[in-house]
Amino acid sequence: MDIKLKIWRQSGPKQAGFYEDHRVVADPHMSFLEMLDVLNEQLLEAGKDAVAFDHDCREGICGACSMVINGNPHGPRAGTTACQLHMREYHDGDEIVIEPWRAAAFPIIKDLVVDRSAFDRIQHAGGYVSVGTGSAPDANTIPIGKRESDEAFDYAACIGCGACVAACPNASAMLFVSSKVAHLSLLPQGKVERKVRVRKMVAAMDAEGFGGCTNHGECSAACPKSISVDAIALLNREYMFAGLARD
Amino acid sequence: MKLDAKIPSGPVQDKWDKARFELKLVNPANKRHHKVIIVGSGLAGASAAATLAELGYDVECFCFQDSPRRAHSIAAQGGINAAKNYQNDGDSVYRLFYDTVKGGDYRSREANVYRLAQVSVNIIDQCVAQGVPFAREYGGVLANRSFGGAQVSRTFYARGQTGQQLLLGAYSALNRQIAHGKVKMHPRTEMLDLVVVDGHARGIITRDLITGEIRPWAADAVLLATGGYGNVFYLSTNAKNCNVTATYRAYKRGAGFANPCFTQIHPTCIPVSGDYQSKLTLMSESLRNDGRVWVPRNKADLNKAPKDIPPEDRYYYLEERYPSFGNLVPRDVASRAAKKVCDDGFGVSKTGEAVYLDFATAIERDGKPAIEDRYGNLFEMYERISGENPYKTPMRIYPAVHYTMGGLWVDYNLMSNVPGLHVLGEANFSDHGANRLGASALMQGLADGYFVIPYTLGNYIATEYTGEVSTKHPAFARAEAEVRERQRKLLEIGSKSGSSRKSVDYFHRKLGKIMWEYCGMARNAAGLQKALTQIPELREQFWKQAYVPGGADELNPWLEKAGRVADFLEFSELMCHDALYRDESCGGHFREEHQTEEGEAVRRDDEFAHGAIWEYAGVGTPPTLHKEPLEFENVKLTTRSYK
Amino acid sequence: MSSATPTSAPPFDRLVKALTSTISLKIVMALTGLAGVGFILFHMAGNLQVFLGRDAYNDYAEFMQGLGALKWVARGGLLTVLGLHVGAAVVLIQRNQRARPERYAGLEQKRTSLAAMYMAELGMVLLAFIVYHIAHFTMGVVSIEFGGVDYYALQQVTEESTRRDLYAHFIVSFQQPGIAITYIVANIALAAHLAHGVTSTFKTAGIAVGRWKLPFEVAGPAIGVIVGLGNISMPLAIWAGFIGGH
Repeated sequence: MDIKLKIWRQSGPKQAGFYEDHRVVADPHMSFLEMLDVLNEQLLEAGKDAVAFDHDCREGICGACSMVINGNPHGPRAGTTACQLHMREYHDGDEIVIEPWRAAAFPIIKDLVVDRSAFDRIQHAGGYVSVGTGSAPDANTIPIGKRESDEAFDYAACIGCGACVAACPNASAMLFVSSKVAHLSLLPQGKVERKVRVRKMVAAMDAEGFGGCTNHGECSAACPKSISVDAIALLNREYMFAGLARD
Repeated sequence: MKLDAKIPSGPVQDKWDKARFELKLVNPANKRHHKVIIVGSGLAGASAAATLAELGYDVECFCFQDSPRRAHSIAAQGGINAAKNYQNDGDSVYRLFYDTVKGGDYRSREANVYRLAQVSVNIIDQCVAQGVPFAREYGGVLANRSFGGAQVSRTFYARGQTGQQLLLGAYSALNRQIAHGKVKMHPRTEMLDLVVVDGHARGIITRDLITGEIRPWAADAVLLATGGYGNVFYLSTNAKNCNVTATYRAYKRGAGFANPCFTQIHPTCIPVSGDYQSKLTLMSESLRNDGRVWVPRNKADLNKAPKDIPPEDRYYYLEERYPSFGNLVPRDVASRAAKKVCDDGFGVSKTGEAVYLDFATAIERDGKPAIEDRYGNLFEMYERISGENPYKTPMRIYPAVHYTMGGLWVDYNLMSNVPGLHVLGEANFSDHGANRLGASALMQGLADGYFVIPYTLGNYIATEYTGEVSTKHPAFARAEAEVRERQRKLLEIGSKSGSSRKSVDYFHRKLGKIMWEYCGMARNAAGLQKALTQIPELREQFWKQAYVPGGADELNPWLEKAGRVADFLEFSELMCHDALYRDESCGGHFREEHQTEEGEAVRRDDEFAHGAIWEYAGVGTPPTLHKEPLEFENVKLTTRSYK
Repeated sequence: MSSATPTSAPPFDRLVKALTSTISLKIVMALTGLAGVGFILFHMAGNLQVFLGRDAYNDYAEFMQGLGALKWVARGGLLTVLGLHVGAAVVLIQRNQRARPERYAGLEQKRTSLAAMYMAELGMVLLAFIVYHIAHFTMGVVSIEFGGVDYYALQQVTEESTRRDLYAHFIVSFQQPGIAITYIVANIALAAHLAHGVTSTFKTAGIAVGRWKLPFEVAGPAIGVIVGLGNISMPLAIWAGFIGGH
């Protein structure tokens, strides 16, 4: 299949970006990133600079890949990362526009590669249970209901890719932050620090320059792990109850 | 090269206790004056960084990913073993130890494995306390499942994303220390060389992958937790950026590389679909708990839809050949069996390299909802990639390179023969022998990081530390200059190669084909010899034709890749030397010269019950062999039988 | 850059930070929005008495006008609510715009509604409308003279007393197509604003979660439709000559 590509090229954080047209012959069984590999191989053998994009595990779990494909972060398939998207979703002659995540908090490094360290800094602010190695009680000491545990897992499944920010009309990171907060506050181990955690993480989120949530639900629609937008409501609730709890 | 495994004396059950008492401690007030470099932020690296920082050490942690959370441990699906015996089904520390040594085909060090089994129980406690949402029963207690090669249910799991949840646990512990200023994290920073001063590992040279800055770092000890080298095969289940550079550079600086030929081929991966294939996707081994592996009995049926082949015409080869373990035989056995039926012409795909993994029986027995509950996300993943619905038609699977048991040689204290250089997780060679059991990699990574290195590192600092060294020491300048020179050369090839230029991937794919063909699931002397002539030729071609665009002072993924592939092009030779030397079949290493009439592996314990440790002797020069004899005081060496 | 939050900010700073965080401002939006919805429903109920005729409507108007100090407390309260709602919105909108300085070539929307996408624009329409509406009915500075008669000052003479005939002003105003259309358009905007706003309020409050999500997702549009239809019914009825016909 013959595919037309319009790809965002930007040589550095401060340089102006532009769209570049390419053509590539793809096989329907290829993954989307393999199609880009083929393009890059073409460019390299022609002695040109290839398109930089983040990728690593290529099995939908590391969260490295990050591109907006025809206006959809990670492409058109629900619950699927760009690396697990396959060309059988497309037809011969299709034009595909590929852009990076666009958010002030995710500055572009090069082409489709963005800096997502803001997510790490939010996690530093409190995305953990303060337990030192060795001081844990036996794992079965505290029973946790299957339902609570499963629900916590649903939120913990976040891969930190940033598609929620990319999809949000406000470039808000609320789904990311809330899934971490919800995961930990649903488990007894995380409840101890829940008030301080939510306050610090929300403050860190604001400091990074993400937008606010206006309940569009686009984040959840784009999330490759289909994390429910309920997480955000849970975050809001946690935040209200946390009030002005002491650090 | 001096190899002293430093195994404590006494009964295996008491060795770790004894060691912990005998290992010297560092005064708590002094720990903050000791800088530790940790390369890698997967399960081993992140857990070590967090734990050492908790103890008070000044930790600098490096990873090439944009966040420590993306290390490839995240992709582990199935689970983590621990001898908790929560199921009351006969498990114990001793049984886990025994199973692991046996599963490794008696090529691992008993003392290390026993310690691994001992600390396994603490790992689960630690992870639960961090908020890892393991699967639970309705009563609120932890659930377990049995996992490839084990007859007890000792595997803890978090759906099909256990590695992710464990890594996020370790990452959260790491974040806590970063927030406290005890760990300085350097993401998108790749280690390109090890710096050895007066025989001790005292620093590294890194490249900032965004700015291209080459920089030396000095420390009192260096920990490598940089994972395995499965990507030498190009196609593997490893992440695209996994590489051998850190451990290979350490090898070039004098660290012994042990058993590099021990690679694990995972039996249940999605088969290759075309030449453009960039990686292989693993389907969790847990699928074999309910899936039945088969191929058609008659070649005439190969083109039929699987549902049209009646049961009597299906060859359930694992169940027939290994009645007591059936579909649950260890990975190496399952992989070789698949290769055999495909080599015999019974493969069920266009490439002839696939077998069926069929869930029809399980769906009929337990109902679709039960199967969906167990494997829903895996089935979805399979459908996304293959376009086939495994609820309706059997999955197609084929073995793929998954894990490397070989790695830098370490003693009982996880220190290599270069004092100060410690190696953790998949990067070392110690615990899995010639074959790793399912759900043991996560266990080992976390055991090393949380519960072993915190004790053993202190001993090195307390007893062998030679005083502060700064990056002004000439050894740093020398190493840095070498790194720069190499980078310059890599960038230069492209400008000279003109129209004969090829992408770096072109060479990587070619290398992968050589390795898969001659040093893959089955090896023989003639093939390995052939590989040993082809690899240097390919390497030479690479240095003439590989095209690397862009410059050194910017984000340049092609320069990164070129450096890694250049190392693979040397390292692969080392693997072939080792595979050629090990003239026996054991675990993942199957030498066709040594098999029974039925095609089972034949070990040669008299000649090869040792670790083969290689010392670097120059590019293109055969490495020097050293041996660490393996003594089995507790486990009796028998022929592994899963019949 | 290890931690984005200062660990020991002075208490006042902390208070300010806590009150101006994105979520706190969202909560301000939600609470003031809720108060606004309460007022809108009350206001609509009052005005719907126009269907009961001149006396009923003017009774209601007289009662409201006679509240004295309480009326000013209520007006002050409403103004504060409006001020906070608008103020918080301005801050949040600015933050949202700063959060994405560079636009996409195109971003496909999958779940959101038009109303949600244009909340700010709808809000601006409503703000302009509120100003006009107050000038029109409360202050009587625009649209009060028709055919040379100052309807705002017109008196209704009853047996007991003489009082202002706001019913007449109401009817005559909406007999003007321009005014009727203005009110209809504004109320469509209001309906859309409420459709997203009410649901959003309960999400922000952390209530519309799990099994409560669907009821609240229905409640927003339902209230929007009720308020919209209720308010629009009046100009339509007048226009159609259903009420106030001569």
